[in-house]
Amino acid sequence: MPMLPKSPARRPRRRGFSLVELLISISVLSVLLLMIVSLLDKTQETWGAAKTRVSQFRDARIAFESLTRNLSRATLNTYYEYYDDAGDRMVVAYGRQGGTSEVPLQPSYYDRFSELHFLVDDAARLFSGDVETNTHAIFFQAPLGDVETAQYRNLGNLLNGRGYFIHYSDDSAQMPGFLASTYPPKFRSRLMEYRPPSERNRIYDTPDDYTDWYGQDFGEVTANSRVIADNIIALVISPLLSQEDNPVSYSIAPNYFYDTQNENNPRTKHQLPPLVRVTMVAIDEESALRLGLDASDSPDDLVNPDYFRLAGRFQDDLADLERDLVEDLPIKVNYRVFSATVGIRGSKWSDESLRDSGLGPGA
Amino acid sequence: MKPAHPSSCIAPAARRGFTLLELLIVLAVIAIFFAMAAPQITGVLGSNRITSSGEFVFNKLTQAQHMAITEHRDVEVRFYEFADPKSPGSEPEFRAIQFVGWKLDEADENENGNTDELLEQELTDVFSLDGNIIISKDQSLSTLVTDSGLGSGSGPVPKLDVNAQFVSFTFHPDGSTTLPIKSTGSDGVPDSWFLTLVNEVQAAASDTIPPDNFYTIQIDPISGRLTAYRP
Repeated sequence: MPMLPKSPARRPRRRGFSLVELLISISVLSVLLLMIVSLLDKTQETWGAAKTRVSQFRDARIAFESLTRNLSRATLNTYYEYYDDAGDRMVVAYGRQGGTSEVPLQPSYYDRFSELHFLVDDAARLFSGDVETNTHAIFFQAPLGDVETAQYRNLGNLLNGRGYFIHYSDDSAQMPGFLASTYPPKFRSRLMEYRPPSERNRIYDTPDDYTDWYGQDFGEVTANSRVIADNIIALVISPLLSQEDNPVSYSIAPNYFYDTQNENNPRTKHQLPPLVRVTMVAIDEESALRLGLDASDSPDDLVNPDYFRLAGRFQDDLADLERDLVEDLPIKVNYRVFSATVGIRGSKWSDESLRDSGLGPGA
Repeated sequence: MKPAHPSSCIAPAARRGFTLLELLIVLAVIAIFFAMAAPQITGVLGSNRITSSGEFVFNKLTQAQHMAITEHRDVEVRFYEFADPKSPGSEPEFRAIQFVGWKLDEADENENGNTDELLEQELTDVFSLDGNIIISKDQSLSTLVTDSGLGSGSGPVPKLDVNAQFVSFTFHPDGSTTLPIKSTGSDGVPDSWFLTLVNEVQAAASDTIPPDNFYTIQIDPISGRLTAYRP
């Protein structure tokens, strides 16, 4: 029987993969997959982080811009008045109040006077009553033209009282009614804007008592205020005389306190500071949620009440606060610091006291 | 003589492939899985559409406020109410938004004997809400389209080729709104202006108010600040 010649050196190949090939390909595939999955994960994380960063502090940014814009328009409408030797303003013939005598006295000198008011102070000290607030509050007058009657809208420069302060509160009263059952009350440290319309500006109502026009009672102030940003934990207002690198620029307000109606301070009496550095510290909603802020907390839990009492210590206090937010609280808090030095347009700063300058009717 | 090949045994010759039975069983299993997953998927998709519509309206209201501030003009926001043109005979619902401004037409006397007339000026296109998403007309869900104290009117919406009613409010150049301050709203809560977006079909079918899926936007009448609520 003739034998079929076997093909030389041709191994009989059955279709399939050897075990080694399979193992190698599986390992290569798994490495590739791992790389792709980690890339996707990174991309998702970056996208999420970018998206939240844009929206996170949006409210805070808008509120900050609004605050600084309005503050730059603060006005005192300062004018000059006769004062007598005792330092009292003289009653002028057409009956404005303020002097101690109704008989025109011997005028001794000219000095500044204003019916309006610019006030920066420690918020807890400014308000009476049980207040959930911290850091500073500011109240001023500005020609913002914010009215509630439609036909006054076009009078763009009507005088408004404005104020900014922090209030730790819950928002359940402001929520739409049908949501009340779904959403528990949410306690947050909120930036409030005191903004009654011009029709209800009380600055001229009680010229002898300048603590009354914004309402010394905290409840009365908040009744005229709106929330402009949530999760603002600190508001630091520092009136300055000149550029920040001048070490004594805060000398006009060494304790941050500045009151134009304080007749005992001849430097700041009835004149606006040329510059005001506004600093605002905001945390994000995520951190606030994780901190579990509720009725038992207070804004002092977030910001040490010893901070921001001395203007000279501002940088140190701010650094300490930033460190606290990262290290001392139960979780690492994501925060942002907004800071700007606002030029008060209406300020005409003068360190010269006319009383001692020898100018005046008696000179 | 060649030995008989063991063909036509009990098991068929080992050819590569799948039997018909195996294929049918696999198909049936896949179909069952899809049937179980489908309701969940449509739920997620629907929920996504409400979220994106809600964010869309939120962004549009923010845009209107910014437009008023930057261009230093009043910007009127209109919510148009009309029946879905694709299903005639259905009830008119709020489906579209537009911004409108007013321009002083410093013209000579026109035929009515008026000079310097205020002309309506379209500031933007008409923005339609996605598919079945509407602004709820339930008074407890949307005070922003149901309460008195809002501007209103009717007219043709050119881009949509329908005649529509609308309600409106206006943003002022300082960011505030023309919305009146309510001493007590219909829900007993003062100062509350808000609207709620829902899926038209879901809202009709749901026996709870609000339906399970909604997006609420609240606007502060004095500061114009927007807040969103999403379960």
